[in-house]
Amino acid sequence: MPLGASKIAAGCALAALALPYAITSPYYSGLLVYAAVLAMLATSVNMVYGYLGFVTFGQAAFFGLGAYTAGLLTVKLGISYWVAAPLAMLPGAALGALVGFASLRLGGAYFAIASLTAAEVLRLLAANWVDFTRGPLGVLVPAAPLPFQELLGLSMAQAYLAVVLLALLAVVFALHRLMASPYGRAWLAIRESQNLAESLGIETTRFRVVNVALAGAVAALAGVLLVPKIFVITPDLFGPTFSATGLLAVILGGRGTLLGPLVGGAIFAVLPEVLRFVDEIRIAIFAVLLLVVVRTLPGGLMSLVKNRRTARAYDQVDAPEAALAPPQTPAPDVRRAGNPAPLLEVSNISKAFRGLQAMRGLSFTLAQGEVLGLIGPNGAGKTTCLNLISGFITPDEGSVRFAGNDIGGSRPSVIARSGLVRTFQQTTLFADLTVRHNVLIATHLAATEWFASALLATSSYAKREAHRAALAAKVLATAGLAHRADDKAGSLPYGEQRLLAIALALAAQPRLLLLDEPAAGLNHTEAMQLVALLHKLRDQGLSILIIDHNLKMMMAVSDRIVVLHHGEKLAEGPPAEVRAHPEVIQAYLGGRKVESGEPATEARHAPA
Amino acid sequence: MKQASAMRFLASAAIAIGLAGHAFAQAPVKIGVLMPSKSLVGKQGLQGAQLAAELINADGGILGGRKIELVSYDTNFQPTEGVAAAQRLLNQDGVKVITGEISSTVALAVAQLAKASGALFVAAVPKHPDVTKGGYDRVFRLNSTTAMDGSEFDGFLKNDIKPTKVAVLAENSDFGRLTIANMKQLFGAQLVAAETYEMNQSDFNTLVTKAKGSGADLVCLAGSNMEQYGNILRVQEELKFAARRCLMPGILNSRGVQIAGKAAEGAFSADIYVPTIQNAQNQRFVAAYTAKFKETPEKIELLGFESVWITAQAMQKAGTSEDTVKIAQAIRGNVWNTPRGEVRFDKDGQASSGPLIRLVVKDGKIVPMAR
Amino acid sequence: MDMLAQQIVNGLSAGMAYALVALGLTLIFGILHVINFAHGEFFMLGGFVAVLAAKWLGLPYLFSLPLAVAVVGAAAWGVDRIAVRSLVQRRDGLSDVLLSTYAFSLLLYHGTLGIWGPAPARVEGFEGSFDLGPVTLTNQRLFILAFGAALIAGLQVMLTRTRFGRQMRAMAQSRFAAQVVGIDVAGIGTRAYVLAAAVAALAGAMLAPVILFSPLMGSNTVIKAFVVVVLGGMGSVAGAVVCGIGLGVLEALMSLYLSEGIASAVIYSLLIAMLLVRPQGLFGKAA
Repeated sequence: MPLGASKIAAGCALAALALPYAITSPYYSGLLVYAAVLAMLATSVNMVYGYLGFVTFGQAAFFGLGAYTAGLLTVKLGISYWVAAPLAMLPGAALGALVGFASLRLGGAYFAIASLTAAEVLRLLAANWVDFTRGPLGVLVPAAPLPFQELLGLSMAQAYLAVVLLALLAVVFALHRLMASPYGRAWLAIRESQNLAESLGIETTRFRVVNVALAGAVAALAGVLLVPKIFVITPDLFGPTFSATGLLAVILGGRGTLLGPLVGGAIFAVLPEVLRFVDEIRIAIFAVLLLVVVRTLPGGLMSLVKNRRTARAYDQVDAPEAALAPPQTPAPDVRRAGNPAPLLEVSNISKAFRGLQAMRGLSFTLAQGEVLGLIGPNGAGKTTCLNLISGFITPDEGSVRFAGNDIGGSRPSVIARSGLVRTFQQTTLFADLTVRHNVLIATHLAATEWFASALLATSSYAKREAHRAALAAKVLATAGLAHRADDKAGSLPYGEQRLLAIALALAAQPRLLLLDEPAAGLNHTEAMQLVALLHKLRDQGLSILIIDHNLKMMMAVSDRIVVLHHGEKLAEGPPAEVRAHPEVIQAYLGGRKVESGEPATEARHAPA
Repeated sequence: MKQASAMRFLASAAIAIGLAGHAFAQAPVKIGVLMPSKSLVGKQGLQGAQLAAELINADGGILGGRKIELVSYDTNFQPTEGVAAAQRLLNQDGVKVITGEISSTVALAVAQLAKASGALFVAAVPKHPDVTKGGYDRVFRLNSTTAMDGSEFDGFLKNDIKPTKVAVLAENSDFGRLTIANMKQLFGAQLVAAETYEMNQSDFNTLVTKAKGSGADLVCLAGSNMEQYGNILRVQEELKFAARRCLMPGILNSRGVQIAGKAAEGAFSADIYVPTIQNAQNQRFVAAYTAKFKETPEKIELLGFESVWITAQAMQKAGTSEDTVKIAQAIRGNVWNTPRGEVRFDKDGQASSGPLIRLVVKDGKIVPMAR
Repeated sequence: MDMLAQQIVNGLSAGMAYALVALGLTLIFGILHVINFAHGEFFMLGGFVAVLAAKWLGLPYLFSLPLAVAVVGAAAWGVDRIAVRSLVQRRDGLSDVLLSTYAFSLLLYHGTLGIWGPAPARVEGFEGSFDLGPVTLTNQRLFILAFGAALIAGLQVMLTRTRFGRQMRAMAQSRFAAQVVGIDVAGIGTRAYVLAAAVAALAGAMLAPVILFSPLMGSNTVIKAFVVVVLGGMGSVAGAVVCGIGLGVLEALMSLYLSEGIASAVIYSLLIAMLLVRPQGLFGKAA
């Protein structure tokens, strides 16, 4: 597979160089250039929308920025256009990084409108800052011959076409490399479930920023490459038409696929021109085509071609045969008898939500290599406690120490990186991706990955990828899901989905695993199988904090139990002790107690 | 008998086919026309061009009876479309001469392409000076430039109208901005308001209120969209803004007057053409246009007409429809009789036809101003 | 200052226009959770019906209002059945409907262009103007203010007091729960879409005498409408109204010192800044 991709790329490069010789009509080469430019613009939109999941309606902001930067540099400084061209990608990347940060606060439709507005601001600036940008008339960039065109015997139009095609190829190939790497996996994770991604140690902020910055650079490059064809740079390059074209081309071609944007961009460029013989109604025909596609092919045109393969894209590792021997994973702490230092120390944490005191002065510890159970009636604050420990909520008071470090208020991904990984109460998986892909994503923390090495696919990168693949295989085997590797995670039966969620957490190689109701919905047999698995993990050195309502299972699996009630600790101790504790019984079963006088509210919640 | 007529039929068919074999002598002359034909001004320009082709063909065509065939594409004010369309004309349709266009931006881009391909470009309506300053000897422009307008109209404003305070309301385009710069230079401190409005703006209450607040007694409008300046005039009337109403040369037309309603009464302007000009060419032009399109032609239609008309006549004079150098020389070297009078071209390809005609709106009609 | 008062009054009537167009957009987003790109064209079609009613049918201006509602409502019903109704439910419903309604906006725009041509047209509304102290107000703008306010009030009553309104609000909160309690979500969705289009059409018919009808009318207004909707909070009727009128007044006041283009740029920048501080808009609910 990796060799395949490189060979294809090399073949395409040769074709890109050979094709211009064959095309002598400037009209056709101009049309191809436009198709390639729109394909590149669509690719940049696809990076943000298809792979990261943010609908962007303002990609023209980067597009125009690239064009104006290159044009103004050329005209004002007198340098060659082709020297200015690569420089013009930088403002696109910078603006992209800014937008990446902004995406933290905005999602969905808001992000779309905000991006549209941002592009409008740039357009108005370009149209009104006349001294700098020459206003609405725009900047005239004279045709710039390429240095090598004489050497290769190409006309200016042909050389220009060659450059554009090669640039497009480079972009697509680089994107392919990135998508097959932890970067691409992180983006998909963020798209599918942000919370899950964070809990597995993926720093969503960093990856978002990188994604949009890259997309900005690519869109800027597209703008730069369009200018020699149109000669005049006008504020309309920032306009909604180009933004819409980019987005619609992606949707038409197939979002989240590598080739979809290329197909879509080409259609948007070529079809209106081809339809010029019906000049009056060509836009109408075009609109009807869009309508038909969106109604009948939600996955875009690419879904016609590669139905099954797209679901499985990038779910395998691009590396030589994955090492069969288990990788050298950092061994979790083996249970050391008598090791006094607790792994987790929760001291006096409190949290109020708008007047409701959800947690009050809770303290407990968890020793290395123990399984601590957390039980309590509904509303007792168990999941809140989990969220507070794992970084999804910040405590108002008190502290949380893990392995001696204060983690209160840290981001979930940072906490995960230090070895504390949680699962979620509602089954949280990357539902549309295969099981194998899910676990591969979860191996994110197995090794740090550098951007350059991912792009260049160095040999050390290949080793790391093999390591991740082996870890993923091992985790799948441990959870007993190896036979499901090719199935979509969302299609698994419920019990196996819960197992997969645990497998994902394991792939992050935690020292402490926080499980939120892992047995919910499992029957007795399945629950006991879960107990067996958890004990096996504990014996291998993993510490576990588990929340659940299945009291029989909790008694069986836990070394110690903490009971919560109304956000406070009610009891703590070995299972047998807790079970006989009168206040615990009363909290679960109700019954009147003379002192408290509380009505029986939780009477019916104690399961068998 | 039947056999004989059948033989005659076959014979004439054979001759016809034979003649078709010598078709090159009768092949039409293709001229490219670029216009933003989905817009009103583009449609008007295109119609003018189409009429020119029709009249020439009715007169017997050019270069030995060859008919003019127009190949036209919509450019929608976008350089991307303009360049693609121009390229298609030159490469696919075998056209050597491109005419028309309304937008200066598109014209600039097309001129570059023409320069690179050795084609001839006769721009009809663009007003920006740079269109003919590209250093290429085969670009021509028919409309007057803002600079040319200024040199005549400025004097008229300053010495004849003699305003105390002047306000300029200009569209945010090169035309508008050049006008503001010009007015600043002309009136100095007398210019009490210089406001721009966006090309897609439709509500002008705020703009006019601001102008009214400046206390100007002369308001000059510089907007190429008749719906916008027509609307501004109306709002001036609604807000009871009593200043004299002036429109910069080249923009006044009857649709704008229609939109403005009685607010246009007494407004004045100047232009290179009115339909009431008395010469044989114009009478023929106006009559033919009105008959074909049921409307009176005005400046835009005229320029569209001229771009094809002059080009075709030049081809005739040069004796070629392919050699752009010769055609360009013919254009430059001759004086042309068109509906607006006599048109000559300077070394940069800029057309001129004599002094501007001063216009005023009277009883809802545009008439030349009594001097 | 006289000019200040006049500018504020100018801004009010412009703002009412923004509010009315934004209302429909925010309704659709609130109830169906999709962005309707054809909204601007419904606005334009309302103006178009007013033009045709006067030019082809010779009807007095007031008749064009209900006619606009009827014609555009019918068109919106068609657009909904083809481009919205079956796409709303999809996982990528937001982008699918974006694309399909964009396609329709192209069709509607070019269709109108084909029927009428590019020429703008004057519609005679309520002619004349009057003075209120230093401020001059045209009768048409007064009509826009008065009728617009009545329309908004009527909508508010409908949303809070009628069964249809309650059903729409239920859908806005949770489509699933609404289905569970037996609400015909697809039918209500269609009716909501038609309602939103009708409001936009009325706005178009009301505004045509002021801003002039042209087929470009829709695309020019739609960006401003989006700004208002986002500023006010997607799905918030109060937000659309307050921010629409507020935007109109703000623009008018800013124009005292800046050109329209720069004023717009400043306002858009403020919008982005505000979104970063309060992503849900002024009146929206926090995610």
